[in-house]
Amino acid sequence: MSLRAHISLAVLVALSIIAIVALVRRRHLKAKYSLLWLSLGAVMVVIAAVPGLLDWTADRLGIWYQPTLLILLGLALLLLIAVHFSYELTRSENRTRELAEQLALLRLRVTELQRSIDTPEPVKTSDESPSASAGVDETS
Amino acid sequence: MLDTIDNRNKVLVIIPAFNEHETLPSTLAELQRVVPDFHIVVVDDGSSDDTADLAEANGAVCVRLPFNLGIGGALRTGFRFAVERGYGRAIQFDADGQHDASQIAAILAPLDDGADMVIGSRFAGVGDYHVGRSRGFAMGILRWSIHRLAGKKFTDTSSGFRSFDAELLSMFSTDYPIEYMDSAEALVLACRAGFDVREVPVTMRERAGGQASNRSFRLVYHYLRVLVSLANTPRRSRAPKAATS
Repeated sequence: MSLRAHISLAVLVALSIIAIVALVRRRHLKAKYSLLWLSLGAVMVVIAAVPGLLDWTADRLGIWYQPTLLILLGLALLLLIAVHFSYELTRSENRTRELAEQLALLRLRVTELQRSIDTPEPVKTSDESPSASAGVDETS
Repeated sequence: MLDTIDNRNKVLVIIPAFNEHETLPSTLAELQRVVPDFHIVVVDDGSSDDTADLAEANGAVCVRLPFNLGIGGALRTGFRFAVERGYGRAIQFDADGQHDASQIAAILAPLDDGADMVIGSRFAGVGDYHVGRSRGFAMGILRWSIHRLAGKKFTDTSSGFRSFDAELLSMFSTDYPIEYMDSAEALVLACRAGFDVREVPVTMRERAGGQASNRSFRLVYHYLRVLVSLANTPRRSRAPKAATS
């Protein structure tokens, strides 16, 4: 890659890293997610900083047109991040569902309790005799 | 009302309902007439109509989900309710008038005989329920893969008319397949966990109201999803059956 390409890459990466860090500082991005993006940035920094590195590695790997290595690398990391997001999303959805279910059951409980407080008469004595132990009698 | 021990010998009817304004009252009335001592819980799956209010007005307990979770989520909530309150048995019953309350005895009977889950099948001989050709074909494919995975033949894998014993309820209250076409997945899950799942013939009616969720592109998507999901059902060991009964 030409020197100019390296410089523009370096500027771009620097801006991205600054943006990510700013988001983390404002708590708009969790540190654990920023790690993924920062590691992507780190790879880019190394590539931008060491001029011969990309071409050298590409040659070693037998890649004929060296800049494709850059794209390949970026793509691989992006895919990794996307998979990670699917994972987090699944977990988050499971938790939301769990919460919704628990909430619905608790809401019913609260309504029932409220109703039993509001009714003037004492909690209705059950239809069966007080200690109807459901027929299962465990004698020693 | 809040004690749980007394429910051990009771049967809970779980009715998942999503916008069932039209048919819910008659379904509840039918249940109250045919099985008056069963308890009924309606799980309102985030309906936009007055399903939940109707359920309560018609004498059922109603669990109101804050938003739509889909049939599987609604059912799991129902199972959780059953376990929390210590019911010994539960029945799943549709709100849309498709199920016939007089058939409840038929799906409960095998539980006395040691079954953990009983499926009321439309196709096992009794009744005259018709499905379209493409739907029938799709169901056939699913039936075949379930046969392979469950190691047992079932004629109606999408039936939502089922009964469960306490042990299965306790597994399903945490591990129920939460998406559409849940019943097929649940079947395989239960079989692979070593539960005794049986099928009995029942009669059903054509659905009285509401709409079947069978738009084709959705169906295809869910087919693929279910197949992937089925193929990955863990073969887990069921908790050792304690010396109950």
